[in-house]
Amino acid sequence: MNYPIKLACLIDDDDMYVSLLTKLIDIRKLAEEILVFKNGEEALNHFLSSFKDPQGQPVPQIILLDLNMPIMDGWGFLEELSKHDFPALNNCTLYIVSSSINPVDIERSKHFNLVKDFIVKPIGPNELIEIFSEAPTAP
Amino acid sequence: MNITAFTMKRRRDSHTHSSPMEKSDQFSIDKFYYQEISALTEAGGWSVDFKNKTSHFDHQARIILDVPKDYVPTLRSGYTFYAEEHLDRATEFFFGCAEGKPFSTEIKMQTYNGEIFWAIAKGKPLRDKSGEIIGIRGVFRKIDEQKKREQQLKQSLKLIEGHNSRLYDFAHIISHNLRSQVSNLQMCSALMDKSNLTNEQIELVDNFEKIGNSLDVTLQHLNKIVSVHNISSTKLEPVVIKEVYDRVVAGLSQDIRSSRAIMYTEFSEVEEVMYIEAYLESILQNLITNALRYKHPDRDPEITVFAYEENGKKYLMVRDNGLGIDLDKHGKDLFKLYKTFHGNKDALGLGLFLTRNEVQAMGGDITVESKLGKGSKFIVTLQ
Repeated sequence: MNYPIKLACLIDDDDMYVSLLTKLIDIRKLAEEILVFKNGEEALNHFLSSFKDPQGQPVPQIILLDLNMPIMDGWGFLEELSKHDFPALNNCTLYIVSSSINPVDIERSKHFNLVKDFIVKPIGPNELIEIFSEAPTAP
Repeated sequence: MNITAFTMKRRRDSHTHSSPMEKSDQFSIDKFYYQEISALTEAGGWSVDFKNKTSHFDHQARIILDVPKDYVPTLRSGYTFYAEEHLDRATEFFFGCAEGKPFSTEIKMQTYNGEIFWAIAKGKPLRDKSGEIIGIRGVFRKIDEQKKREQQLKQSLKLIEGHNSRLYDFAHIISHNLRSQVSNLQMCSALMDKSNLTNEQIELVDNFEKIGNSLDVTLQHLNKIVSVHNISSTKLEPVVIKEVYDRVVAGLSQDIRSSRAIMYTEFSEVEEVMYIEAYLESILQNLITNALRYKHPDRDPEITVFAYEENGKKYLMVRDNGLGIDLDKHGKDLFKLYKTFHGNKDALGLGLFLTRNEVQAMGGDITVESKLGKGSKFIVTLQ
């Protein structure tokens, strides 16, 4: 079975949203595996350790990042991640997926090279298919 | 006798009849008013004579400064009537005045008993016949009440601004959180596999979708209204009205063309206004859109946009020859949220509400004159 994405990553604290999105991804067979983190800190710790260890865990091809999360929010995650230069990230497409329609947030997202685009929730099946097929395919 | 001779005689007579008695009458009249006025305004006078090295406080000054009955002011003791924190300021003004520079300033003073109060103090150099400065004379008025009210106002303003800011944050957070849940609702209904459902069940599922969409739209409106506050903290800048109008009309060109609308403008009287450009654009956009939307079926719309000045205030008027509004019936609801009157399917009932919010956020107001079947005239007070 040819999935467009081998590993997708969801960083979001809304359990309901995560379960719905996971269902959608499964139904449409968009990704083989899904990695979930409840906040920026959890995600950051995982990536920092996996990037530093070349034999370590696989890097997701796509990351869907929420903005409003406890402990460390989306901005905090982006800022910390931006401090490092991980070549592995070149094969990863990161999208901010948020219910925020605040133009300030949208503007701010443009300052991060890591961010491919800002998607406003809800993300529908068609849009999901589009971004999953655009993201770099698994090596 | 001719008139001129008569009046001249009168004048000469009055001159010779100006006795010391009359002069002192005038003097006592003046003195009466002076005393009454100084008591009414709580203003006192003082003087310093450099030659004789004496100082003088007038009656009201003595009252304001609460000095004992037999108190004699001196040059040096004059300084004790200024609050310590303003003593340097007072000294500077005093010496400046002694060198010929009059002063007028708000300053903190203190009474004989050390009670501090705000005052306006003025001083002028006193010159002798040869123009040499021989002293200083001044007046001062208690403005404590005024100052206190000013400070209270400032505090209230700060409180209100803080409150508004918190309300805005609150509305923003709530609207964001609500949108998260609405988006989940929409996703959920999108995921529903309707293939094994009965028609009735399918209808119910579709309703879920519609409800989710309605909620989403309502929240978007909320966000629009809340964001009016956000821009209000932006700085004002000079906005060229014609430029904004041209932009709005360009965006509406399709509608203007299809409704065969004739636009009249007059911006020569008021070309520029200190405003927030985004607001002016939004206001013009809404008023012109309304004028186009509510055109009269029997005639092509004629819309006039006119900026003028009256009694020092700047106004913007948008007039049309459309359907008009029954103000008796709908007048009080016109600027309210979600109230529509013509059954137009494009009308959300949001436009005038937002427009008035924007106009009022800029410190102005909007009024309407209208006649059913004839047309309407909206007047915005810009500043």
